[in-house]
Amino acid sequence: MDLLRRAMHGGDPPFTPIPGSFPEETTTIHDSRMEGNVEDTSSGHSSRRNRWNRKAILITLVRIPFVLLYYIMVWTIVILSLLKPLCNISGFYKKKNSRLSDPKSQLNNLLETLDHESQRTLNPSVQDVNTPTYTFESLYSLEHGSLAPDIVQGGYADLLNACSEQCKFAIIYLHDSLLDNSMQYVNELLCSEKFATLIKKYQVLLWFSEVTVSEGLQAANALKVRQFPFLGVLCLKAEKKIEVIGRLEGNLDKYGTNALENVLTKGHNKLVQIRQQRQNLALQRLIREQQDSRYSESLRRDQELARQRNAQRQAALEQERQELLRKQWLLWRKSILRPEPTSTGGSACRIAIRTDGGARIVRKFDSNLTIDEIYAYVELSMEGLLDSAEVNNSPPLGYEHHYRFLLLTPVPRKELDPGTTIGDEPAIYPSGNIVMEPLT
Amino acid sequence: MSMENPTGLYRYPVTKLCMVGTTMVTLVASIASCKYIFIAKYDPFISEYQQYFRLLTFQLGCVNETDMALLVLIWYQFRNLERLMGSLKYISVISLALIYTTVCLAGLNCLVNRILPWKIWNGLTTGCLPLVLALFHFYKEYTPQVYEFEVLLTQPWSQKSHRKQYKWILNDQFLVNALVAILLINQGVEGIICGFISWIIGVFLDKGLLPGMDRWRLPLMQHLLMPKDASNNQGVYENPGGETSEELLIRRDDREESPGASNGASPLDDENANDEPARPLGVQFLETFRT
Repeated sequence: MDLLRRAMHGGDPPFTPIPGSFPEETTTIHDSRMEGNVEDTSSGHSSRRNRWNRKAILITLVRIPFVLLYYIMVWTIVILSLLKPLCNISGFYKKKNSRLSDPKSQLNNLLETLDHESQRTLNPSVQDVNTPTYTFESLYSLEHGSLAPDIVQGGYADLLNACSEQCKFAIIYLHDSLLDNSMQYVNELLCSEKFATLIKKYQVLLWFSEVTVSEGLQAANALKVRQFPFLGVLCLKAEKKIEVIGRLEGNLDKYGTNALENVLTKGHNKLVQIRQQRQNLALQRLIREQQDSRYSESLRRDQELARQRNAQRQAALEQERQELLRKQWLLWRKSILRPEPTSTGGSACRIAIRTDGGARIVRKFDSNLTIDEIYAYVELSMEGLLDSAEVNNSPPLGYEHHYRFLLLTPVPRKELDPGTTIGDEPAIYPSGNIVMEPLT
Repeated sequence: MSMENPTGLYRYPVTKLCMVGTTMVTLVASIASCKYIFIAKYDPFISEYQQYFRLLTFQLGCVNETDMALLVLIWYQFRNLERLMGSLKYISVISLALIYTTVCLAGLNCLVNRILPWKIWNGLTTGCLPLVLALFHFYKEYTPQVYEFEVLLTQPWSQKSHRKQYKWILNDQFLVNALVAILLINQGVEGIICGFISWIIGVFLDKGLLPGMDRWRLPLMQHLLMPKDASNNQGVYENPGGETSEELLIRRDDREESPGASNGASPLDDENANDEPARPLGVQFLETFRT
C-alpha cells in the first residue's frame, strides 16, 4: 500500500510537516536562487513547466482508477451500513456469547446444567436396567466428584497439552442440548459404573464442552463431528501428534456395550509403547547428563592438578632465584667485611660464638662496628664462603637480606640487635659469648 | 485446525433433501411451465380470481433462479443446524416453521390487504425465503462466533497523517449473513417484509410463544431417516467384543483397507490423509532431476 502511495505522490516518501517549522527558509532559498538565475528563468521556465505538466497528467491518470475504486467501495460500505437493523440483530445474538467467556466458569455452568438435566430426566422411583450406578454430581462435580481431578479445566488446547505432556488418554464429551435425547450419553454412558472404572483404570483425562459455545464448536469442527452428542477418545500417536482413536457419534444404541473399552484396550498398548519410548529418552538424557557431569568433574580435577604443578614450579624457580640473589649478596657482604683487628687494643672485642651445629668460632671484631658485622661473619662462615675465591662488588638490586638465625647472649638471655654498635653492648664488650639460634 | 463444518452432505439427509428439493422443484416447474403457481399476488390472484391455493404453494418453489441458487447455498450453510438438532428434529422444525410461516404470512397478507386500502404489501415472496429466515434465527442463536476480522479502507490520495479510515468488522458467519441479505434484497420490499415476519416467527418458535418445538415430530420420518443411517453401522457395531467392532471406530490415517471402512461408513476426510510424506530437501532436489 505504501508503495502504491509513493507511486502516486511522484516517488516522494510521505511525510508529515512538523508544526512550528520554518517554511520561510525554503522560500528565501528559492528567492535567492531566483535572483541568481534571473536570466535563465525566462528560458528554463517553460521547459520545466512542460515537464511538470506531463508529470501531473501521469499522476492524475494513475490516480483515477484508485479514486474510482475507493468511491465504489465507500459507497458499498455506506449502503451496507444503512442496514443497521441487521447489525443490531447480530448484536442481539452476540450478547449471549460474550457473557461467559471464561472457560472455567463455562465448564462449571455446563456441569451444573448437566447435573440438573440428569436428575430431571432420570426417574428415581423406577429401577430401570438403564439406571446408572452413580449420579452425575457424585462423579463429575468439580468440588467433590470422584472423577473431578481428571477433568481438564481449560480450553481445548489445554487438553491437548495435558494429553501430550502426561501421555494419557483424553476423552472429549461435546454436549448438545438441542437434541431430543441429549442426556442419553450422560445417563447411559458417563454415569455408568463401567465408564467410571475405565476412567480410573486408564487414568483418562476428561474434557467437557458444549457445542453452542465457541470453544466447543471449534473442537467439533476440528474433529469433524457430524452428529451429536459426541464422545471422542484422543491418544498420542507419536511425539507431539495426537489422533482420534475412537469416536461415538449420535445415537448410542448402535454402539456395542464395550466399544469404548475395546478402543481403550487397543490404544493402551500403543500408549504404553510411547510412554516407554519417552522413559527411554529421559533415561538416555539422564545418562548423558551424568556422563557430562562426570567428564566436567574430571576435567576440573585435571586442571586443578596442572595449576598446582605450575604453582610449585613457579615457587621453586622463585626460591632458586632468591638463593642466587642471597649468594650474590653474601659475596658482596664478604667483600666489605672488615678484617679481624690484629692488636688487642681498646677497640677490639673478642667474641666466642657457639653455632647451631655445636662448633665454636672465636674472633675479634672492631668495637666501632655494628653487631651486623658479627651476623654477616657468622652467616658467611656457616655458608663456607669466607675462604671462597668468588667476588661480587655490588649488592644485587631489589634484594633485602634477612638472616636466618638469631644471635643471643646466653646469660642474661638477650637478643642482639644488628643495628647496635658492638661497643655499646655491655654483654659482649670487651669480650663475650654468643649463642646462635636458627630461625625456624 | 479447521474452523468450518465438515464438508459434504454425509449424514445430513435433511439438508440434502432441502437442497435437492429446492433445485428440483424449481427446475421441474420451469420445464413444465407451471412456475406461475408459486406467484402469490393479492391483487389480482386472490382478490379477483380467488385462487387461494397460491397462498399455500408460494413457498414451494422459486420463480427466479438466482433465488434458487442463494437458497441452495444457504441450505448448505444451515447443515450445522441439522448437526445440532439431529435429522428428525431438524425436519420436524422445518415442517413446523413451514406451516407457521405459510399460515402467518398468508393470513397477515390477506388481513393487511383487506384492512388497508393501499396495496403496500401486494404479494408474497416466492421460494422458501420465509422458511429460511425462520431457521436463520436458530442458526444465529445456536452457532457461536468462532473468529472475526477487520476490513480497513483508507483514502488513497490524501497525504494527511490522520486521514479517515473506514473499518468494517466481519466474522465467520458473514457469508450466511450476506447470503440472507442478498436473498432479502433480491425480492424487493416484499422480501424484506416477509423475511422480517418470518424471522419473528422463528424467534417466537424458539422461545415457545408458538408451540410445537418440543412435541411436534414428523411421524414416519424416523423410519425414513434412521434405518439408512443405522444400517451402515449396525452390523458392525452390534457385534459385541468382535474384532471388527473397533475397526470402524479407529480412523486410520494411512487409509488402509479395514473391513469396517470398506463397508461404506464415514468418508475419511482427514486433513493429513492426502498429504505426501515429508521429504528432506536433498531428496526433493534429486527427485527434480529424476526422469
